[in-house]
Amino acid sequence: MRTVTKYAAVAAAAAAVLAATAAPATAQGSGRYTVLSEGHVDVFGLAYEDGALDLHVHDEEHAAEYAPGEVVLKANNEAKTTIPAGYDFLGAPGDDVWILPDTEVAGLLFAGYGAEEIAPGDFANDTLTLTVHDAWGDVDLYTVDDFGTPAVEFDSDEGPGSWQVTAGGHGHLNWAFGEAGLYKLTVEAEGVLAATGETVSTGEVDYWFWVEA
Amino acid sequence: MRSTMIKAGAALGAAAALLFAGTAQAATTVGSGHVDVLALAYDDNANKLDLHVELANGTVLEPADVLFDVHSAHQVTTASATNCRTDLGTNWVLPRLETAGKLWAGWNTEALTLASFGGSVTADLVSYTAPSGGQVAVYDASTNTTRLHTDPACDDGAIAVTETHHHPTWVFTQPGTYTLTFQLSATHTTNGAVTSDPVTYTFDVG
Repeated sequence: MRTVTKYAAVAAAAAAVLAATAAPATAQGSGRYTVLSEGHVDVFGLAYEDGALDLHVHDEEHAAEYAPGEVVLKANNEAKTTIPAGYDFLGAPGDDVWILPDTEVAGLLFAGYGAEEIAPGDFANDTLTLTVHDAWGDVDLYTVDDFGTPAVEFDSDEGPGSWQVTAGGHGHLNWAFGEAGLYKLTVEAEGVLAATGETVSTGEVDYWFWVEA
Repeated sequence: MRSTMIKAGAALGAAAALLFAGTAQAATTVGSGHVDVLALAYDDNANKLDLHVELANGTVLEPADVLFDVHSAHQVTTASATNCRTDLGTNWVLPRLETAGKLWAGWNTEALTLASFGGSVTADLVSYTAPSGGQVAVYDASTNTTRLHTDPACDDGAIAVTETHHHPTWVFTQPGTYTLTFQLSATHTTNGAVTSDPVTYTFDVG
């Protein structure tokens, strides 16, 4: 588990902001953050429009779309559990962990990624790459197959992590956080344009997660 | 005039019923995509639970009219047997996550209020048929939790449905036709004990 010093100070400041804006997940337009805490949300939503690759957050429950900087993605305290055996990358079995699972659970954010707005043929092999460059604190993003075997896409202890997304595709991850508090994830999407061979990127985009104690 | 119309209507209804009876075997085959196999509902007038099949497009079907086609794309070969999960060799696996070309089979309680039933409705596997040696395992891979198994050594033979919407992994260990007959039971907070009729589902595996 890695602890970043900037984490604690900013967490306190952010807690104050959140206290003023929390609760209704759909209140928008106040100029502050919208807190998304339940239901199906494509956190890493990809679109390619007017020559620009774009990352946004798509709230499937309310058919609303946000820039990543407009939302705080909240893991409610119902996400708090203990690390199961066989998930050593999360830490020691029995330790606390907050997990937003890759299946829909009432009362929790069902967080995924989607490239439904990427038209087939725009990108070479219809493939784009999502990279999480960095995260504050201890974050793991992983999938689990039908036999319970996890595949880690990003582990904050191991540096940047990437995975591929297919044009038109959609997927879900398990999002594990080692502590309560505020997290920033720095994310980038890129792909090679089929027509020109040029690589286009979103650049580094910041996402904010709030993990309830 | 009026009574004639009613008679004609009744006769038509009877004819339609006959037609449906005659074509009951012309089932809807579902072999890929999102399907809530156990779509739970509650009729508070009749104080009765009910089971349907709900497709991704919202179509609701009677389980008796649906054939689940667990075709070869679901085939998975394992190098070893796993207790209460898979046999050594060939198994047929319905994945827990949406996968193109495969059934994505789950359940939902969206047509009732779980809290009115203490948060859980029991789907009891009252009977089943399977090909020789065939077992059915339904489990949550991410928490290693068995939700249902046809072998009494693995499970109590009932699914405790506690989710609004959920997709487990389903494994069939042998090819052939399986029938699973479920009956729902629960305790309604004000109306007391409630059940459904037994409802049979058919899976054609391999």
